[in-house]
Order: sequence, then C-alpha cells, then structure tokens
Amino acid sequence: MTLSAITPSSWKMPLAWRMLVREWRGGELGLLFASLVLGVTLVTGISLFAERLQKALVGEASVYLGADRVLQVNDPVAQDWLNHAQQQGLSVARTTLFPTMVYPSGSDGERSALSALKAVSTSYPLRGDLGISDGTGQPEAVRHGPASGVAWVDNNILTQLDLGIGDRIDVGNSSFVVERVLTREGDAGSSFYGMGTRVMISDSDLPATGLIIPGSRVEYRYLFAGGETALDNFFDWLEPQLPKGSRVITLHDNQPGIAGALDKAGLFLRLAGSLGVLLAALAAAFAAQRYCERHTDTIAVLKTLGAGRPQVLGLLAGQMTGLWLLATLTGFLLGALLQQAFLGAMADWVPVAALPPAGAYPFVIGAATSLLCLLTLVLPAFWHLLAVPPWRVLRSDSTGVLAYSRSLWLALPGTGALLLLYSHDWKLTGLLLGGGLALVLLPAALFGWSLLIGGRALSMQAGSVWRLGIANVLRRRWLSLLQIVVFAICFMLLAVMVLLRGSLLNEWKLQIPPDAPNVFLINIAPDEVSKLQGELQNIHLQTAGLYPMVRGRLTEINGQQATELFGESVGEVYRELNLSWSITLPPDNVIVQGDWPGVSRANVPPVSIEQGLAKRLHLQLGDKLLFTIGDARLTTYIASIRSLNWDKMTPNFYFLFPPDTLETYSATWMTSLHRNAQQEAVLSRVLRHYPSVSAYPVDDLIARIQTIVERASLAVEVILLLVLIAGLLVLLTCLRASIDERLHESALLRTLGAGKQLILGSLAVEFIFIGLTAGILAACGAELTAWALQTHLFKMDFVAHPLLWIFVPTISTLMIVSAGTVFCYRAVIVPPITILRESNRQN
Amino acid sequence: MNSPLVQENPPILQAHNLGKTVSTPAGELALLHDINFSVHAGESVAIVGASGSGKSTLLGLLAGLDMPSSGDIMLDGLSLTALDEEQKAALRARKVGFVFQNFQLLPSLTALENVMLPLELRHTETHAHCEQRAREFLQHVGLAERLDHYPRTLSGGEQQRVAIARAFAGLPAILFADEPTGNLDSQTANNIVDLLFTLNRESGATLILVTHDEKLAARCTRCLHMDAGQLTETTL
Repeated sequence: MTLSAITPSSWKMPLAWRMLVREWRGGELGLLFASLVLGVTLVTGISLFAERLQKALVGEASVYLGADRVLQVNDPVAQDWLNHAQQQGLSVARTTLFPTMVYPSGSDGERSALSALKAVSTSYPLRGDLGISDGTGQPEAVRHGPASGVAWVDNNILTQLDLGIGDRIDVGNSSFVVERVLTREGDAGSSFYGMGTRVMISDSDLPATGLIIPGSRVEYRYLFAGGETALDNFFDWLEPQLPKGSRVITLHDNQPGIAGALDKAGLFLRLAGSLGVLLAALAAAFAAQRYCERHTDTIAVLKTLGAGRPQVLGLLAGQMTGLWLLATLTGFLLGALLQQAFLGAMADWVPVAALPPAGAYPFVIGAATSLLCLLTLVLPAFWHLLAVPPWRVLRSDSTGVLAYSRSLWLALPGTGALLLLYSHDWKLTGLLLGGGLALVLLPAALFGWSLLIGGRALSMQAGSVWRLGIANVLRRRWLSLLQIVVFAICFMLLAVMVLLRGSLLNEWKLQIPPDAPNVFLINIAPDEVSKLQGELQNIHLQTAGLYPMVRGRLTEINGQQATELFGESVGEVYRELNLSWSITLPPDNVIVQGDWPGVSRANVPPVSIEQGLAKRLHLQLGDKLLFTIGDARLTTYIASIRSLNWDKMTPNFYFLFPPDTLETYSATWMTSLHRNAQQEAVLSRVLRHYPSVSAYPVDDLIARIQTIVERASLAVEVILLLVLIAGLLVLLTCLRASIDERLHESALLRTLGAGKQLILGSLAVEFIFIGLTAGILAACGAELTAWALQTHLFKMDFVAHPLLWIFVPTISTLMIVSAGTVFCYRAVIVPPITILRESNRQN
Repeated sequence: MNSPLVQENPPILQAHNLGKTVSTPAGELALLHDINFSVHAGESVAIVGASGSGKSTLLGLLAGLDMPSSGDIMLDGLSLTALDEEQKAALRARKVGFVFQNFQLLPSLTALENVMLPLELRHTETHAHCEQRAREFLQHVGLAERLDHYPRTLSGGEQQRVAIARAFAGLPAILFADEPTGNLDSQTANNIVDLLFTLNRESGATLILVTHDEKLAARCTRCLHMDAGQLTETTL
C-alpha cells in the first residue's frame, strides 16, 4: 500500500454541516450561538435604532437649512449642475436674497421700509415648513412659498408701512398683494442681518421687478435634499468646479448649537453600540473558552479515529461558518424586532411611521460583529483544539484551557478593529480600548492577583465556609482572575454608560434654561439705548445686556487677502460680520487664551476672537487683522480667544473689541430678553414708541431645540436600558459558563457528607470574593474611563462620582452572588450521583 | 497459545528497540526501555502489568497516538516514525479501531452517530451506507432500540457496547483496547468481554488489549507483561 492511498480525502462540507446539526441538537453550541446572536442583535438593533433616530433628528434639524445642504453663490449657477443633482436623485430649490426698499403701492414714497427680499422657487422649502398667518387666526404651516403675484411679509414691515393683509406693496417695478404675514421661516439663519424684515415672493416674479442688474449684491442659495450618499457624491463632483466666493452650508455651519447636541447624541449612541460590541465580545470569549474546554476530548477522539489536522480544521470551520450564518440571520431578525419594540415604546414622542428607513449598514456591521468575534475570539480556541494530541484519550490534562485563556489577549486587536468599524472614530476606539481597557486590564489583573494572594492569608484566619470558599477561588486562580477581569469590564462599561447618560442629560437640560431669552430686539438707535433699557426695566423685563453692532468685513489676515487665503472654505471672510465692543466680558464668554481686553500695541488696538472661528481661520494670538467698515479700514491684533455658548440665546459676537476702538463707527444696538405670554402685549406697547426697533421672537427655534434635545435624551435613555439588559445577559452567560466545575465539586463534597449550609456558604464566599473584587475594579475603571470620555471626547467638565464607589461594588457583589447561587442551587437539591454522572460523561 | 495458522500470517505490528522518555523537574524519566516484539495478524495479545508500569504508554505508541523517543514501530508494513501526523491519522482511519476504559463517546452525538463517525471521516462510503453499517453493528451489540440515545442517557455497559460497535464498524485490521472493562461492574464486564472476543473472532482483526485483569488476559492468545517499563512475554 502506498502512502497516497491512505492520505485522507479532502474535507467535505456535508460532514461539517451534519456535525453542526448534531452538536446543535446535543446542546454543545447553545452558548456560543447565544453569545453571537446577542452581539448581532445588540449591534444591529442599536445601529438600526440609532440610524433611524439620528436621521429623524437631523431631519428635524434640517428645518433650519430648509434643506440637507445649501450652496451659497454670488451668481446663478449653470442649469447643468442642477440637472446633475436631479439625476443623482436630489431635490433642488433656489432662493435669491438681497436687501431692497419696499413701498406701499400708490404712495408718494414717504413711507418706505428696508426689507430683506427673498424670492423662492416652487419646490422651496425642501425640509421643514413656513408659518403664515392671515392676521386673524392661528398661524398655519405650509410647505411652499407664495404664489406668483403675491407676497408674504414680516409683521415689522406691515407695521412700518402701516399696511394690512390685502394691501399692495411695490417692490422694484412690480406690485404685490400682501397675502399673508410670515410668522416662521426655519432657514432664516442665525444672522441678525435682515432679521424681521422679510418680504418673500415667488422666484418667477423676480425678473419683472428689474431689481437684479449686473453688479447687484445678490446672494443665491441653492437648496439640496436627498440621501447622504447622493449628497456626498454630488458635492464631491461639484466642489472642484465651484467659483470663488461660493460656500457650502451644512447644519454645522448654520446652527452650531443644534449640531452640537446632535453630535453628542450621535456620539453617545455610537458609544453605546461600541459597548454593545465589547459586551458581545466578552460573551463570545467566554463561550469560546467553554467550547474549547468541552471539545478537547472530542478532538482527541476524532484524531484517534483517523481525522487529520486539516480534516479537524475543516470540520470546525464548516461548523462555525454554519453557526455564523445562523447566528447572524437570527440576530438580524431579533435586532429588527428589538428596534421596532423600542420605537413602539417611543411612539408617543416620536412619529415612528414618519421615520426614514435605515440603510443596509446596521446589518453589515451586525454581520461583521459576529464574524470578527468568531475570527478573533473563537479562532484562537480552535488553534488550541487543533493542537490537542490524540494520546489525550489515554490520559487527560487541562493545559489547553489555560493556554486558551492566555491567548484571549489576542482578542484586543480584533475587538479594536470591531470598535473602529462600528464607531468610525479612532479617538473613541482608542479611549475605550487603549485608554480605558488596556490601562485598566493590567492594573486590574495585578490588583486581582494580589487580592487572591491576600485572600489566602485571610482564609487561614476564617471558619470552614470561608476557608473552603476562598480555597475554591485560589485553586481556580486563572479562571477566577479571568472572571474577575471580565466581570469588572462588564460592570465598568455599564457604569460608564450610566455616568455619561447623567452628565449628558444634565448638560442638555441646562442648555436652554426655562428663562432663556426668547426674543431679540435689534436696530436700536444709539440715542434710544438708555431710554429703552429704562422702559424695559419698568415692565420688569431683564435684558441679556445691550450690545452695539458695527457691520464690517474681515479683509486681510497678517497682510494677506482673507479670501485668497481661505477661498470658499470659510464663509465668514465673504460676508459682513457683526463687530461689537464691551467694557466687561459678556456672561458665558470664557477667555481660553490671551487676556481680555488687552492693550494697544503701537496704536494697534486689541480684539478678542471666538475660538471656533479662530480655528477655522488658523488664527493665533498676536495675528493682525484688517477690517473694512464702510469705507474705513481698521487694523487690529488678536489679544484673546474666547469660547461662547451659542445655545443660550444671548447676543454673541465673533469679534469683540474693548471700548474706544469702534465707538467712532456708526452702530445700532441689540439685546435679547425673556418675556412670557402675559408680558408680550406689554412689550409690544413699549416697542410701538421705537418704530425702528425690530423684535425677532425665537420661541419657535427654542421649541425645536427642546424637541430635539428631548428626543435625543429619550434615545439615550432607551439605548442605555438596552445596553444594561445586554450587560446583564452577558454577565449571566459568563457566570453560567463556569458553573459546571463548581457543580461537580459541590456534588463531590455532598458525597463526602458536606451539608447544604457548607456548600451554599462556600459558594457564596467564592462569589462574594469575585463580585466584590470585580466591583472595586469596575468602579476604578469606570471613573477613569468616564473622566477620559467626558474631558476628551464629549468636551464636558469632569465631576468625580463618590457614590459610584459604593454602588458598583455592592451591585456587582449582590448580582454575582445571587445569580451564582441560583445556578449552583441544583447541587443541593439533586442527588450528587446524578451530577457526578453528568459531569463524568461530559468530560 | 498461537495457532499454526496465525503464526503463518505476516506480522501486522512490530516494535523494535522501543523507548519512551519524558522530562520531569527531577530530570529525564524513562517510561519504556528497549521494547521488542511482533504481533501476527489475527492474534489476540494482552499487555498486563501494575498501574504505572507503562502499559497505556506502550498502547499509545503502538497505535501511533504518541511518538517514541527511540526505536521504531511497523504497523501494517509502515514505519510509524516515518509517517507524519496526517499519514498516521489516515492509517488509523483505515486500519485501526479503539476501545477505551472511559468509552470516549462524543457527548453531543447519538449512539448511531457515534458509530457512524469513523466511517464518515473516511469519506469512502456514502452517508446512507455509513448509517446502514452503523445500524447493523449496533444491532449486533444489542442496542437496536437505543440508536437515538445520547451517551448521557446510556448506562456504562451500554456506552461501552456503543464504543465496541464503533471500533468494529470500521472493519479494522487491528483493534487496541485500553482497560475496556475498567469502569464496569463484573457482570457487565463479562458481557462486554464476551462481546469483544466474539466480534474479534468474527472480524478476524488483531486485538491488542491492555488490562490489569489476569482473567481477561487469559482469554488472549498471548500475554505480554509490563514491569517498570520493560516487557516480558508469557505464552498462554
């Protein structure tokens, strides 16, 4: 006989699949399957939920752009571009904005008002709606602009011109019937320029007005809405062709406050999902260890029966492929159901039916989770199994399990890859894995080990229950240590989620306090300032401070043209900015670099710049800036950089000067204040004496921000609940995986005559030791990780959590003791021979 | 007592100067020294000796489960020391059967599936044929009614019957049995031994049996005594 004749035929799938079915039926794959399903369910469910909710929240916020993205240009763009956008499946609208005078029709020109004219195309607005009123009833919401021949105008214009609904106004060469009062315009923007003086007409009426002539300063805004990918593709294609002075506006540019809240909500959801990934990985690691433990003899038998290494590998790989497919599909189904269940629970707060559908990504990430878990956590187990020698059928040892436990460290890069794939965030991954886990794991292992050693000394002093319990922990020291570390990580992750949730919700709650200003007063003449302030005080209205506004353009930075330096990438260098001055630093302005107000250097006055703009313009302390204000030029240098709170509804300025510098320029003043429904009429009466002052209510904006924050908070709560449930399941899975050995030993003790009290007592001691140690380590790790996440990722202030050090160890001890005792209770109610027979047959 | 017919058969198993040494903290420990013997096809050979005498170690080497430190083993004309692990596994699949003291049935497989497994691993027969053969052998060992039972639901004797059916279903040329009655009561052990020898006789396989039971050893045609890693032969 030749050797080739006895070489095994290559591995065939059917046997692997038959083995999968047999092992499944025999109950050997349940735990591994459950952990994979848990991972896929958690990741897919959270991703589906987060993606749909995020889309909904962004959709809600897109109201402030009237679109998903906006292109702002100084000249109309080529029709080809718009056609291309439509071919990509995007909706397109156009608005044209410029200041112009409006007059009552037929008047002699005595009465006039400077208006911010806006001509809108028929598809405007693409997102959100407009509020209009006929002056008698409640405002109604419409999703279109005015028809041809009519105008919708701001109430301030009507007041200034002393007109009403149905009257006519002249705009350029055309005349329009005032059909409605414009009460709400989502995409008005956060600039106060033109605030409260809107006249909106149809795009088709614009040419007839004759107002646009060559050289006119007109702002064209092209609005685009559609899928994220289509938008990205279109703007990737468009941006290289954009003319100088163009600007692409996203939600971030337009409403930094809302965008910030959304970013944090998104970050929290991603973090929650990432923790879900980690929890699933922990469960898979434990299940793989148990699988390895229970299959060592099986592999030795297979080899004895003539299976070669490739054949064994083929059998295992085939089974795992099948298991992966089954677990992934089951996880998809459960994840989708879970998402539906949570959305159902939120139905009172979120219009579930109107939520945009999720894409394929949650399913891709779900499948990747189970695959990576298998490859990085289960595959190392297989290498150890493949190395099991056939002579093990004659004499057993346990080196394989120990070697596998050690190789779990190999899972770190795999888990890191998974986290990165999920979060797309190097920093989050790094903080969780490197800064969080790796930094905690090593001290945790050392600390746990020293506790184990200390436990030996303690047990010498204690009674038999304690001595036996601690002896159990020490005898299984590697498994005990592994369990302590795994439980510590699990509790740590859950504690981090709870801590972050608390901080985030508190911050959001404080974002817009109930007494935040809800109306802006602008265009206050300098000679009206003190009188108006006095009258407001008389009616008990507290302003957020009165500030002057001088309109100027930033033209040069360190001697170079600002537009040449930055092009369209920074819109602020193309438009007029509101410059202001103040004796004291306004509330919520915090100097992060330099000194306020600073001193003049060689007659060059100081200025303070907002830190976001400084970052966008790459500006540093000492940089020289040239502003053009009307025909005048003002050179200044940066003396300080400030952070602002954009959500507080108080006047904020990119550039703030000390007094004396801007006082010679013509300025108007502005303020914001909080008025309740009763004070509204009183305020209107006061403002009647100041016809040039425009009142601009922001109740709608505040209401929308609050809605977004409420929904984001609810999402955070729901996700937290989901992760907590998953964490508990993982804990129970890990605990269950190590119960067989304890049951076997307890049965042996029963055989030797040990009573119920001794057995349950020693088990309780063992679980107390593990639970308490894990809890202390978890509290330590949670405090560290929360600090890192809050200060480095969420940009929040860190506050220590003393209660954490009490609650986490207590909860972890109680949970592990109660669950462990329940799992082991069988040892004292079933005849010991039954358990011994079962465990002998399993081994 | 070797029958003349058996003596005329070619040797199926030969050990030449076989030795096994392991490293211990105290230094090198010799488990087996200079073992030499031959087994002819069709013989039944008992290896007896006290616990720790090296019986199971020798069995592991003879079956190609472990590597000797010195010497060589010829199994069915092939030198085991010249074969790699894959080739040895393939040789076991085609030529060798095993019965173990602790049965070594796969807990997640039914009795039928446990018996089918070595046949399936060969990939030489159809699934239906494997199943048919496994059924026949289980019927032969008296477990026709227990085909779908898992090992945990079978008694020790029944589990060993399944193991015997598994060993013979592959029609091995040589069968290694390691203390096959070690975990059984005497009545069950007698039944199992009867079954083992009956099937061995019917199949014509060579039987290498490790035991410390002199009565069981007496049923074999030859008896090899292990003592402190050395072998002496007693012809029965």
